[in-house]
Amino acid sequence: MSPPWELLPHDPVGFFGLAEGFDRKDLKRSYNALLREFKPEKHPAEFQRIRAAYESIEQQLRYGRELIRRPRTSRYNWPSEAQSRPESTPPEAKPPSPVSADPSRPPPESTRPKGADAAASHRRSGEDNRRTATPAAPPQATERPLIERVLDESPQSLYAELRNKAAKSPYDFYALALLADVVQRDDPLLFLKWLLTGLKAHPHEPALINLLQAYLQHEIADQDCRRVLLAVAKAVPDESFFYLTERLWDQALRCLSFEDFDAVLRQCEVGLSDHRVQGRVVFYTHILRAAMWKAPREWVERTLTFLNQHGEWITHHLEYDLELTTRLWEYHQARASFLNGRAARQRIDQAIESFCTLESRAGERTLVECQAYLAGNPSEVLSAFSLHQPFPREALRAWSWVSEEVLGRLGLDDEPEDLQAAGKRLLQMLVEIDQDEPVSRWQTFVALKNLSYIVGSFLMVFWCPLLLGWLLGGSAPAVVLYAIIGLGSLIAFWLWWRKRTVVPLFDRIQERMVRKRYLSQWRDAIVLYFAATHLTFHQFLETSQAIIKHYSKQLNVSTWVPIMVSRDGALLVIALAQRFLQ
Amino acid sequence: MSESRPVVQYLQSQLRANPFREAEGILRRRARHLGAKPKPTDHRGQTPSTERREAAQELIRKVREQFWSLPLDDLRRQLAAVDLKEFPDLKAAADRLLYVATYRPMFPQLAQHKRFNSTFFSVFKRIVVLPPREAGALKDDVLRSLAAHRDVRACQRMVQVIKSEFPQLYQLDPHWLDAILKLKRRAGPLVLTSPSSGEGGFSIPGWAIVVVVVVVIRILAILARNSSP
Repeated sequence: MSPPWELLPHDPVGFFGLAEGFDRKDLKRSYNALLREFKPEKHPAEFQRIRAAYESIEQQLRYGRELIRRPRTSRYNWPSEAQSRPESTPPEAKPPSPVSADPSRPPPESTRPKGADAAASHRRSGEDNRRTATPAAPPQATERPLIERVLDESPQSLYAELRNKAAKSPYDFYALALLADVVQRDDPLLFLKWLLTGLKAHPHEPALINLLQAYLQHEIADQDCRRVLLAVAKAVPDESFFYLTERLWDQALRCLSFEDFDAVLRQCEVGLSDHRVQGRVVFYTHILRAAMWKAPREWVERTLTFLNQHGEWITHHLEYDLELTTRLWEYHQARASFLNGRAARQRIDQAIESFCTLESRAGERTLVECQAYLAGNPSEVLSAFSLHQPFPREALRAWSWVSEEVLGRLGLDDEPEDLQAAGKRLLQMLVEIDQDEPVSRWQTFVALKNLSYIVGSFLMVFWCPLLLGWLLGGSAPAVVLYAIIGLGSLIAFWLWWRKRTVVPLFDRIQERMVRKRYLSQWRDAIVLYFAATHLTFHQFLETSQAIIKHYSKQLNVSTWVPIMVSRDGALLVIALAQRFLQ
Repeated sequence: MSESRPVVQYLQSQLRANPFREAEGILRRRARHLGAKPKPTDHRGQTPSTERREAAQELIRKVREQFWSLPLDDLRRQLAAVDLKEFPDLKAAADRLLYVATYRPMFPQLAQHKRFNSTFFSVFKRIVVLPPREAGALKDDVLRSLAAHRDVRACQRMVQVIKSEFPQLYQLDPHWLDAILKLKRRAGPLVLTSPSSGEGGFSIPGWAIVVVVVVVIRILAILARNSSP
């Protein structure tokens, strides 16, 4: 059955078929179900619509927006309201003009119509909005709707008439915004200014909010970011501010220096009445991911401290984001030690930074390109992540997180098609490893190990008594004592000293031998295995451990495979990269 | 003064719209009306077309099918004709095919070499143009079967030739080719056997225990003899 495309973009909840009280997991489940049908490589246009809907809900969940099953309708019936309401304006009214004044400031007192004070004081009340928005006089039969008047009246006269109108409805502000584009083309921001003025007069009007949010996501030139953010902060100074402007802040962070960005942010925050702090918590959790690459360390740490102090606002919708941001910060701090001049590491670093700082699709593209490079150059990856170097834990953790995130977004995080076949292939590989090992070498090793136990036992049994006898001389009771001491030494050797010294020594020797074989033979076979099966790294470890447990009596040195693989960062990187290949 | 017809039509279509439901459409029409260049945005802006992607995939599939018979210029022209920037996975595939195409003329030269092995040659030609997933499975299977094959040395000699005399072909898949060079022929079929070396446990030979006991007794006897007056 085809998804209800007609519900997009205004009813993404209905589109995903989400029940009341759904959470992020339910959303992800529905999203993944649709992606199985509309894979990005086969249906990119449909995928984008699904993705946009997903991100819209995901953002609302993060900001704790109240979501309802049906689209929230405006109080104002838009097109039919335009057709039926009267157009006449009270002659004594002198309405606010956004052209010369800052739209965030209400018009001067002397110019305000008498009804505007009531509107200002009851701004948050929906009923009063309705009273002030709709004119007192009933519609007259001769008045025509704006849609018709546009046919034979000039936009300039309509614009002037609406501007001079005392009490404007949300539709009036919308119409003014549209007419401003025609009447005053030299100021494209006038469109935005009328929207903001409309929101000041009719706060929380859903249609204007929706249009404003869409506008802020697409239409702002880099050089206008700063003043738009400041204007919106004055027009929408409540907890909606960060929800509406999040993407514009992303853009500002890209185009402004960090000092300018921080200055604008502080200026905007001054007037906000987000007393619940929730909007700021969500916003900072989001913006930190990109900001950490530009901001001074102190700013990042101060922000992390702020988030920790307001942990009660970290809803479960935000936990994943905060976790990812924390992982990225850990990597950021360890970055210098990770970069060792190898191309593979440089590219991984660039991909992580691009993922965090670029627009989402551009960031994904960079990451996918990097994965294609890594998958196509396994030799470079193997030498970039040598077993002789410390395991780059922070880097690989961050890389795993961002890669899994992109795999999820692209719908590529499905299970491999044939896990059973992958398991059989893995068993075959382990048996081959055992069969290819030079048996004599391992037999010699084991023989030497056993011989060391014998020599040790011999020394304990004889050496102590002989020494004592030579030092202290011997009588029959002394000899018996020496024998008891010898026996005691033997027991101590077996129960204690052997485990503390001999066994670890041979384990280290064995590990060195295994590592040598792993690097020269096994590693290549495992790389090819990942290319053939596309198992995840953890699936490989789990499957190999299960196989080894089941066949523990038949397998030999190959039992070391999961141990060596778990220490091998290169294989983690290669396993991830293979999953991006189609 | 009446405005031009396009402006009137624009205003009418916009005034008819509901910003709650049609915000994106309103803004798209507005941008068109203003003559603004669509901002390069992420997914909410220009969406990659399904048709473009399918066409690109089909092109790459055809190029793969006809890779060894298509004239080089045609091949390069076809791959260059499609803009694959928005499909990084397909771009990687096309780049790979272009790279292989650059050195395609070397394959006939390799076929003339005295150490030419036809089986390996045909497999190598397949692997370098297959999609990555298929190539991965085939490479693993080939390696397995080579290890049990009596001709493994012949294949390894050919790989050695590729590595030393045709380095550009070697670069097409150095990792897999090196894995072939490291292969040792397996004597028999793969079986799960018991560990022969006693690796998992400790065992002391019986004769060693006998020797230890005898020596203990002898030393105790010597000590006892020395201590008696």
